Amino acid sequence: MAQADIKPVRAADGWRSSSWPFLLAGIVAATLAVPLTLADHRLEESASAYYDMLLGSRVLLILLAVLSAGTAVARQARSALVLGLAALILFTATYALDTEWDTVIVLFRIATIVALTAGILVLLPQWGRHAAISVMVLFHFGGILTAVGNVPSPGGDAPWLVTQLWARVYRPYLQFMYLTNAYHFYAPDPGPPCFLWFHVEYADGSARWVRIPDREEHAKDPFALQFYRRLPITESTNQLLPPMPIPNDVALARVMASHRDGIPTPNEIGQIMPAVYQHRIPIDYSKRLLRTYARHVANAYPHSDGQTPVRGVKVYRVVHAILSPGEFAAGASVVDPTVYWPYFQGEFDGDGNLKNPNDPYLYWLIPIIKVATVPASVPGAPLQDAAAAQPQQEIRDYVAIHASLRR
Amino acid sequence: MTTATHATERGFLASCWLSWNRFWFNPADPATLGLIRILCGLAILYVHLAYIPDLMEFFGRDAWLDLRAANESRMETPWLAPSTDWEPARIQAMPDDPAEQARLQQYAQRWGIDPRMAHDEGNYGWSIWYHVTDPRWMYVLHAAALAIFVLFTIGYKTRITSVLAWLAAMCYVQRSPVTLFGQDAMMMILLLYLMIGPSGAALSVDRWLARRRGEATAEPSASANLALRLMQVHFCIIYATAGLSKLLGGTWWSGTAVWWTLANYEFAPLRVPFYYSVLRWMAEHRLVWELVMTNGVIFTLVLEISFPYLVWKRNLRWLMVLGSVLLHTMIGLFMGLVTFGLLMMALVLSFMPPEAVHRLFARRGAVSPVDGEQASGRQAA
Repeated sequence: MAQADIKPVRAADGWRSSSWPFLLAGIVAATLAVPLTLADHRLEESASAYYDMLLGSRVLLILLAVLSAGTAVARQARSALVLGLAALILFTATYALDTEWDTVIVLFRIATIVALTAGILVLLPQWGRHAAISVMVLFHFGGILTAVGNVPSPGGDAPWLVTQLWARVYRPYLQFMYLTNAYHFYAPDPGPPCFLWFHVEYADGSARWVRIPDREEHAKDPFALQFYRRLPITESTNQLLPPMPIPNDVALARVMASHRDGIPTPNEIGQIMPAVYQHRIPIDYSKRLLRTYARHVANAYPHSDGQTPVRGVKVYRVVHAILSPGEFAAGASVVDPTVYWPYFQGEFDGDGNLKNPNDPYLYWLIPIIKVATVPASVPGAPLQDAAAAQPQQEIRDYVAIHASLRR
Repeated sequence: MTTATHATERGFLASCWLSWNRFWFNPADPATLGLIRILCGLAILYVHLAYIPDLMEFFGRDAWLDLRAANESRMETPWLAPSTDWEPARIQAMPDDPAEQARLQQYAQRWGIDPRMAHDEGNYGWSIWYHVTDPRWMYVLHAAALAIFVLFTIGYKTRITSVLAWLAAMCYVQRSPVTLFGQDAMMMILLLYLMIGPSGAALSVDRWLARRRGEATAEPSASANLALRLMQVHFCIIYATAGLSKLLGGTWWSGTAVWWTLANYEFAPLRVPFYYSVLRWMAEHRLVWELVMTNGVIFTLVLEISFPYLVWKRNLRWLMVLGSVLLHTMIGLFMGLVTFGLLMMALVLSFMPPEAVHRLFARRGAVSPVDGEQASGRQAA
């Protein structure tokens, strides 16, 4: 690496074109920030009043160092010396960061490696540079194809080679760069959307419903992005184990609870949906997310008095069924309450712990259905009028009944 | 092997290397890159402006995926690697140390597996939002990110702002994976490649300032070509995967898949009376319904599966790009995913020849804002 490697600066351009002032500023800032870290930690122990001031200075110095390094590289990106010194600045800056800032430290270290690699690249002759970049391009698209192929087909597995490559080679790179998407858009089949309904109960016996996403509340921007952002939240709880035979004790507990609480048994709902689809257990990932969502709701929707604590949050995963064309033609409503299928996901405390893992309704469909009602006969009415009375249907919301159950 | 064979082989390899070099490293006009930067920048700006009311709800300490859960996930998530032989991984005996036993049990309770069976633990995600959780500072940083996106969109100090834009956007993406969808993947792809190429060399404030300083026109560069080629190849992979993965689905074979998107109340504009009545009218006329749905499915599958190889045919390129723009306009209109559609269109623009970009802007003035040359002169050249 020679001094001549640095692009000569024209006298007229002065400091505005040179990368040296920035490199010097970066080196000084990063070097000053490191001892401040040590001083900062000592002051922290003795709870000194100077702690905040030193912390602020350190953050400013780190920012200055990184921005200076970036500006220097932007000015003379083809200089190996500039790239090498930028790498040095970034590496030094990692020692000025607290260990709690681990993800930023990782970022700085990766940036250091990138700067060093770029420094080596610019020293290579053109064919060597092209060859090295070609290898990087191949590695990059190898990773993209690995992410694409690492999705098990329905009822099958992902290719063994791909899963090995994902686990042992590419995962750090793809996660760091957020290139993990498999691009299986609307595949294998487009499915119905999913909601989350939360029934928040407070210690004084009052309760409220929180439903996400809610178009009225969450679609205020012109492209409804706030609304669409919430659909992945609900969808993340919709990753389920495949339908499987329901264990006898689970089914029995559900039937007994139904008789006790006046909620239809799986058999009674069987004509709407086979029992095996009425009990859908989420995968562990979804179960973990349900805990944090319940915690968030307990936190974000406190009692109106701001004091009364949350006693529990009942969570329902609600599938909004899409009407078939036949139903559509027959005039069925797309927002009829019966096209919402709520599955109980458990009751959580304010800290996101599942209160009763053996709840007889856990992961079961709690239906909203139409039930036939016979109009009450009026005493003294003629007999033929009573015979002509048609059975009527009313919507019975068993979710509301289930949500109000307390034990 | 004869000497003649050696010569032929060397000739074949040399010609492969030359073709490869030409494909990736031939200098290209950065005009297309400049146009993509503007489209992408506008979409990204909108995406992040829309975060303002939800900043705490998505990235704060008590977000939907709260800091506790996010940290657990990034530090502890177990990753299993498949066995390297035919035997499945064996369950190991518990250690004698009670403390270690307790740790293993606690981990197994949380993650469902013995940590000793995991190949690795934790994620490689990174974000400033893991560390800055004070609401005031979060809004300050968010404002700084918005300023970066504005500068990137207008192309000011683009070499620096393109890197900062990628870093800033990545912070949001990595912190809240539960709020992401396809749009975010496209956004990060575009930002990555716009950072690699000289995306501010045309249609930018940088270019305007350079022109004022009397600097020459934006020169074609190998890095502009590399960035465009990366976008093109990546786009082809996306389309091929999206198309082929649909072939696993029954509704795509029965020709009904499009219905399940058009009649999806959360995505489709079913609240618009006209749209609703057209959909109902179609449902009442089965032949019309079948024709529309089946053709919709055929159009989607044919386009997605054939795009990756037909787009390289010069005489079919315009047709493929037009088909793609049509598909994403439909997605924007009938599925509501406008920003996703916009970003996909920005990506497919990588197939647009720079001459077309020059022509596009030449109509609006004698001097091309792309590089300041007389556009008509460039066309003649």
